[in-house]
Amino acid sequence: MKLLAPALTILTFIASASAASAHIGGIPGRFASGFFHPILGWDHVAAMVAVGIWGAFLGRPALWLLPILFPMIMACGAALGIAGVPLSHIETGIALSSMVLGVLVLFGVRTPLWVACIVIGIFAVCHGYAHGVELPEASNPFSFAIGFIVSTGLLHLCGIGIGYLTKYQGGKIVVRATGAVIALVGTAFLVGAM
Amino acid sequence: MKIGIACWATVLALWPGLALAHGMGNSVGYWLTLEWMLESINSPVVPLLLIGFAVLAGTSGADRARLAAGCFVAGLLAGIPAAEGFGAYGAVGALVVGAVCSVVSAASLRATPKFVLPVLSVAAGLAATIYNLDGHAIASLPIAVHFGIVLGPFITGLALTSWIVLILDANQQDWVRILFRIFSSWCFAANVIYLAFQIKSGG
Repeated sequence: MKLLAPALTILTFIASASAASAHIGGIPGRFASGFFHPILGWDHVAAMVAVGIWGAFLGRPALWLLPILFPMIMACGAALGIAGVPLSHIETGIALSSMVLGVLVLFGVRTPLWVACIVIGIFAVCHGYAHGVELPEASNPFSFAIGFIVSTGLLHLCGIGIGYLTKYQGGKIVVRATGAVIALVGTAFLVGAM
Repeated sequence: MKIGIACWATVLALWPGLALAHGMGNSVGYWLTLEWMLESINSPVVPLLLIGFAVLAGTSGADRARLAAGCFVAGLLAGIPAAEGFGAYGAVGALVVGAVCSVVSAASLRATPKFVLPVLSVAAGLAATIYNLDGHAIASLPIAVHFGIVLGPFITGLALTSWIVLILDANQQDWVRILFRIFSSWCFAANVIYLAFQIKSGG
């Protein structure tokens, strides 16, 4: 019974979406293009998942603080990109984020919380700026932005899910191997960026 | 039962917005109020503000949510005379208040001074009305429009807040509260990005 009312509400919203969609006028890929933008770019996927895994490695409060902090700082970076503020070496920063975070996961490095926040913050600015620079070209920038914020959050959750494997026997090996793969992806992008 | 009422109040407040807003251009009386109730929540700016306010008020508990609701309606009413002077800053003001509400709830209210919630509630109400009135003076619009502009955000904000209070009452685990904090960080991000667009476009 407790679940019935929320379920009915969600169903109602889904059913009512057809009227709202009618106003879009057939323009494809607004929310969807933003949503898939981080998911289809390996450099973004690797870094976002690594943030979640590293948070799970560090435990509470980093477990939830890093996924809260990342989109907030990423949005500030995106705002800089939208405003056209010039920042250099962004692609290098994005590639470095995968490499550094992958290495941190691979070796299970436990830093103080404030250090983790600073590391995540710097990389979040790079990712946000890259999104922000591309935003004004989207057909509906706001829907695009909502899409990439949501998918970034979901990638963090995937990372946290992978990070939870460390609670099981053999899970640590899987998690560290994932860290190694992420570091390799980052290195490949870094070589490409340089 | 309470969850059901909150759910359906939310649906009724949000559902017919787009469909009815286009069909009543020459409305009078009650219909004019209803039209402006729907129009007042029909742009991304006010819903973003209301979601930020609702998460902040809802996650602070039922008692403080009641206080926030009172302050919010006071802000909505105070916005009517204030709109004439501050209309030019409507969108930017609403997005800044929405971002501040979101960042405070993401940072957890326990560590926040008690005066912050009432102050932000008044600011949220003020910002919503100022944005919706868009610089119009009191005398330039019918009273039914003012009713609609105050009632729309009030009902929507209250419905969302009560929904969050009920969800947190029914699920007192830590992770539910953490999910709301993560959601607040997404709201902050949406507010900041939309604010950047508004500033860039000169709005």
